[in-house]
Amino acid sequence: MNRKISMKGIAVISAMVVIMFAGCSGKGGNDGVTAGDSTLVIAMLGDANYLNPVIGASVTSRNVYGLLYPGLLESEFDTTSGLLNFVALEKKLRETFTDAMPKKPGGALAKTWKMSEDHRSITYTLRSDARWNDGTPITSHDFKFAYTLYGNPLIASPRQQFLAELAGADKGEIDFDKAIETPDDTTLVFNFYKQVPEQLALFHTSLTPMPKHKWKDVPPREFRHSPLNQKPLGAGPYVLRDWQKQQQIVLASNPMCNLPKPGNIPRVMFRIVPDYTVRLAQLQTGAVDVVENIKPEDFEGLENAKAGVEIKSVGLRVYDYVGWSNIDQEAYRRDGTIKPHPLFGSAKVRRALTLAIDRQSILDGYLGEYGVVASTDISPSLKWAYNDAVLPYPYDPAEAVRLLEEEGWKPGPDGIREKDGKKFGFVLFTNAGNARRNFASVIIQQNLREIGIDCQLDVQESNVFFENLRLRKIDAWMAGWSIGLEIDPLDGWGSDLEKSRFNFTGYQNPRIDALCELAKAELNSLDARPYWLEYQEILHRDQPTTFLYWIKETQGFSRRIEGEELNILSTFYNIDDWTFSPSASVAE
Amino acid sequence: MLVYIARRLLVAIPLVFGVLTLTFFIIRLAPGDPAALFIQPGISPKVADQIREQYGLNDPLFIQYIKWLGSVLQGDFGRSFSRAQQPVFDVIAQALPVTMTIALLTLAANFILGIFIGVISAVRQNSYLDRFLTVGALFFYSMPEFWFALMMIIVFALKLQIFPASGLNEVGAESYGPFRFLLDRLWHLVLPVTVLSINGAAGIARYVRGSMLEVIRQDYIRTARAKGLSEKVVIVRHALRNALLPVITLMGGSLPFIFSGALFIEVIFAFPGMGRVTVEAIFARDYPLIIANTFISGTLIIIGNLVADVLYAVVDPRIKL
Repeated sequence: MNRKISMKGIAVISAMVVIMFAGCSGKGGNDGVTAGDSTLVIAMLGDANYLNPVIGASVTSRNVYGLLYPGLLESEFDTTSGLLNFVALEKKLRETFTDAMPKKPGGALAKTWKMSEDHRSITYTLRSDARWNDGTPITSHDFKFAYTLYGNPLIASPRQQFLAELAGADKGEIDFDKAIETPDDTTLVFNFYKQVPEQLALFHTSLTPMPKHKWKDVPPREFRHSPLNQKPLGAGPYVLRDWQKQQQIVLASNPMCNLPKPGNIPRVMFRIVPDYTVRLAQLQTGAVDVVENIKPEDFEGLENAKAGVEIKSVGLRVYDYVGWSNIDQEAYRRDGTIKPHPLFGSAKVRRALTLAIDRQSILDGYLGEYGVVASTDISPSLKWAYNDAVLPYPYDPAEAVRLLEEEGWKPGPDGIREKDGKKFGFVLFTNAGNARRNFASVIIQQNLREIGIDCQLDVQESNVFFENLRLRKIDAWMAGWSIGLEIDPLDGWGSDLEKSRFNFTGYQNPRIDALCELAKAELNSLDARPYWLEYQEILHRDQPTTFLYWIKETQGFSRRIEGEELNILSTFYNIDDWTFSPSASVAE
Repeated sequence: MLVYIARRLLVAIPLVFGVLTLTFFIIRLAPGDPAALFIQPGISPKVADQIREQYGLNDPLFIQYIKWLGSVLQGDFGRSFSRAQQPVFDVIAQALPVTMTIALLTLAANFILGIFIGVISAVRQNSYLDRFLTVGALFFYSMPEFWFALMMIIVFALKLQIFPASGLNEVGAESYGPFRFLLDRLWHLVLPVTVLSINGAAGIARYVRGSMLEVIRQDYIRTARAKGLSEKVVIVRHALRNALLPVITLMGGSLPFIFSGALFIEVIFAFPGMGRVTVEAIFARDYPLIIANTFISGTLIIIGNLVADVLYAVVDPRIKL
């Protein structure tokens, strides 16, 4: 009896499998046209965490809620000067001279603004015809309400830094009634506790508003898990249609939108595809339209793909570097003593290391034309601040050897340099899963071996690696930075090692501190240029780290997309203006 | 038998509990910080601390454990750190069906393929067919599954374009209607299930072959043949049934392997299942989610083993529990 049951079970299962395969072969006869004709499909590495501007932290979050929500101002990147520009309906911070306007204007909620004479307050005049998608007008109160959310420690918004200049912030407690005034529905005033440059004031006061009528009754403690997060009420060119966690986010063009208009493409779908190879394969077959961060080794395959793929690049915001501990990390960890690192403590040695690393070879071998040898951490894209006169050190192992000898590092019996009985040997750490850094680290190891330095390589899981970096447990490492468009490097170089959270090298130079403060205090960004020029000269001379190369970000687009304008601000900068080319959607 | 099952389940409770406690401490020993996402330039240093406060990570470890224990005993495993503070069981409720579907289909495909190949190999022992199948099985058994998966994608999704490369459904599948939707879903499952089951089936085939060879030499098989029964009846009715007894225990035992196999299959094929939830939770140091996942997979494994033991008794009258 029992046996019969088990045999029957197997029969049922096998029948299921037969049905499954039969069903599939039936479908295989289909022509394979997807519903993609009106849907733009973007492959993403990971899901958004929140589609809420107050707490959304991942890049995907930002990309998506940026399409759902309206903005006080629009920002644009002026490629001729490298400055971030802010645009209201009737006013621009500065005239830009880019030949083509990539984005249809008219998206800003602010008509105009006025900075007070004393630079301690800024007053916006808002347009009166903007509405949330439920028909409620967008008013100045929505902005004030949003700022109380951004500033609430219980909500823990990652954008609290934007409130750092508001009245009361210096005393640790922002008084929102004083800091943000709303005399009427279309007037919005921000008051600062100190003089603030107009550029920074615009940047920090243009956080996304939130619909007060929807959210006002949500207690801060429940803000992060409120069901309202699943149904964001916005006013942007798109609305959220469907969000299947870890699978896809579907947006539909918002017919109500007048900021400036509904999105051109009817549906935009963000699909989560964690594996890079699979994202690539889907771009090649036409199953997805956009894949970000294509690796250079895959360009050729993509350009020959059937689906028609175009690679576009933008930059330069990202660089790789080799970090050298300027100070003896062990001594510092033990009792806060600052003394030079036994190997990398001298600027001359660090210069020698930079001279010995053949950065051009790394570029030729991996990034090709998508990389530029770096001199410091000011990007060549930020033309207004970039110092052309500071040229990257050439690859010159002979000069490197001379500098090392001068510092007393003489070759030992095994060919490894020594000084006072100490060998020049160390471990270069990097994080796992980065093919580019793996490639570079091998070349660096070889380059250093040639001048008598023993460099071992070690790859650590990213979490472990960054924790070790923060705890100052490693002496030499390779990592990268993505820079902001506002220059603010003090976190990485400031002499106060407790305050400068990202000064992993322990570099200290009071002149750098002073230059950063001077630059920040200038009320007009362009006036800070001389400070930044000197800053680059000093960093170049001191080489607290070996700046390797700037990396162009490379994105793959299906050729059926038209009007995409890649921008240093974002890949999806003008996505609501994209269209599908009519011929491509008929093909296949 | 009921007493046996009840006793086993009772023993399982402290076992699961011990595993959870161990997990609780081990993941906190791992370097890394659940709030690490918020430690970056441009984000105020206060944020990471506020986030830790929200997560209750600023308490001493022992207090955290007591608090955790209290809520777990009330059935509350907390809210996920990394997934928008959803209750962890909501996260799992979305992910588990996906993995269960893959696991059950794989289990079925595993055994059907494995038994089929094993029987043929045994019946045709030492023939070219047997050799071919044996070498073939060994070939697939030794292949790393993630590599095999990528190869399948390159061949069937990229070159031949027969199967989709990833996802649970086609773009726009919501408008298909239930039957086409189901077909589309199954269509997307073919590659992953094939990858997962070929490897397992190869192992089972070896097992069945051995067990079958042993049974075929038994006296009662000779008797069956002597009675003049057809070869088909002898093999399927008399030999196979007995040969399958040891194989059935494999069923429960293979569950954990299928689960761990589903792990990277889900990453590669972009399925939002338990495997991906677990991997991402570990990378994000999402403690509550890691613990809840351990709880679910641990429980499933214990149940799987219990089912295997009970099944064994059910199919083999010689065994009394």
